[in-house]
Amino acid sequence: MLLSARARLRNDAVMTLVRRIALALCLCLPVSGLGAHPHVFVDVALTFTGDGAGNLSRVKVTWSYDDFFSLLILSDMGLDGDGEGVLTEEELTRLKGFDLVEWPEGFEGDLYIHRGEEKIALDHPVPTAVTLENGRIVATHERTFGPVPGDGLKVEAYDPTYYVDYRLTGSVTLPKGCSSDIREPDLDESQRAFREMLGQLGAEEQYDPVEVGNLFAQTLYLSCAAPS
Amino acid sequence: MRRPVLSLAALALIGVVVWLWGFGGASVVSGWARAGQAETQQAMARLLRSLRAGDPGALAGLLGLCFAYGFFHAAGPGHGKILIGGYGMAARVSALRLAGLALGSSLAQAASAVVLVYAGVFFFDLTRQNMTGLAEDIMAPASYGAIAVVGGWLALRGLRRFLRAPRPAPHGHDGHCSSCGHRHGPSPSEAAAINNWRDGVALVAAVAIRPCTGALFLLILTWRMGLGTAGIFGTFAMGLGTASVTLAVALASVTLREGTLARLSTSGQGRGLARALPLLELTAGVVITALSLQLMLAVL
Repeated sequence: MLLSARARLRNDAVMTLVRRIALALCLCLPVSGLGAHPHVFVDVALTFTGDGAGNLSRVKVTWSYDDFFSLLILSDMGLDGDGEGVLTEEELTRLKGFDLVEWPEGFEGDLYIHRGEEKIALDHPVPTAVTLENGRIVATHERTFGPVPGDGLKVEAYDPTYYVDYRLTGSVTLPKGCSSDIREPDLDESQRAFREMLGQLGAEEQYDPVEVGNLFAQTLYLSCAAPS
Repeated sequence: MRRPVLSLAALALIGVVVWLWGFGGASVVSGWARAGQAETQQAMARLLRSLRAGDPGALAGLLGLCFAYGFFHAAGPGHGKILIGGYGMAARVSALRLAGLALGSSLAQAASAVVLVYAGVFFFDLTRQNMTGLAEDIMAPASYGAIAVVGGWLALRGLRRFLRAPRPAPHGHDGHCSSCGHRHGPSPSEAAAINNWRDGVALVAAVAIRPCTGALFLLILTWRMGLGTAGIFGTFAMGLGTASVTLAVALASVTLREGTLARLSTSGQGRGLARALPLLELTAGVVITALSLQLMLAVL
């Protein structure tokens, strides 16, 4: 994704022991986003398309990066040197897809779609456009999937490591006949769920780092009326 | 009439702690802190552009924003306030000295950000990803680990002193207790002397190992924009912002500690004090260790 910093230490006896002890201690403590501190803030807009008969098969994802991070990326890549806020065609071509170049193991594109308990597999994103608006980099990519019935889909945009804070800005475009509802995370519920998660992890041999990103993310629910 | 006032303040603080702990107060605070941080970050970008364009008032604005950023960032989880606060609860250290530690550790953290970036730029030819990767993947766990070690050390020390402390056995002053020596607890100066300068160094070092990613971003950006000095000042402004939160936590912890001890010392001529102090140290040590291990788990 944006960073190379996603390498995870794999199990060894000492770490397992440390984690077990830490887990025991953690069960008594409150959850407050732990040490995961977001440094990048992204506004997410989604456009779903399908076959027009209530099934969806494609989503266009628009990520609008915050001013500060955009400035950082532009300076990383040596773009917009004059600070005018305007990129040439050549610069735009170089910038396109910058956020999808790195694809660390385990990364899923920070978009999760579920139908009930089943996670819908999303194809690898294809970058489609990039612009610079008011100092913010706005990048779009498309992902295909399914097709699955749109009714009852649950969509979440989050970074499991919570380095990036994604917000659904409410810009969700759907085919005719479908509607959406964005729900804010219930923080108390998240705390309870997190404690449960920790409790379960203690019993497993294979330990995966605790992922907090989804506990603090909004959820988008889709409903599509069957075509008459 | 200091004692009743201290106890009252201590009670109020306990109320705050209970709210943070048991009633979701912590998520409210961190939500607020995160929003504040996002806004300051945005404003910082605008000011950096103005600074680059040569706007004279931009530097002062940037420094103010950096201070605010440091404040919001420290109000969120992590960043050493656990350690300073815990230490303030545990050790009989004066408010002034603790304040000094709070300030020192925040500024040392800012300094380590500056050192990391400029060493990376001038000596090691590191990319931005290298530097933030270094900070996030190695220095952060190292810092949390070091804090856990300090916490563990405090806990062990507390435990040892607790076990060695004389039991508050009832005895009259006209009785024949030749072994008692009429000591009901360590004198305040003795207690303070036990916690020497080594504690201070360990604390500051544990916190300073890990520079803040926001500071790294700022330093890298300003260096590239030819505004390096502004970036360095900005980083220390962030450090002061962080220090203001840590300072508040430090003073709160001293109030809490003294309030608790004042209550204990009024009952039975300080007999309880000999065991209360080490017990506080043990508890604080355990909590610090637990919280920093929790943080370390999250980043590993």
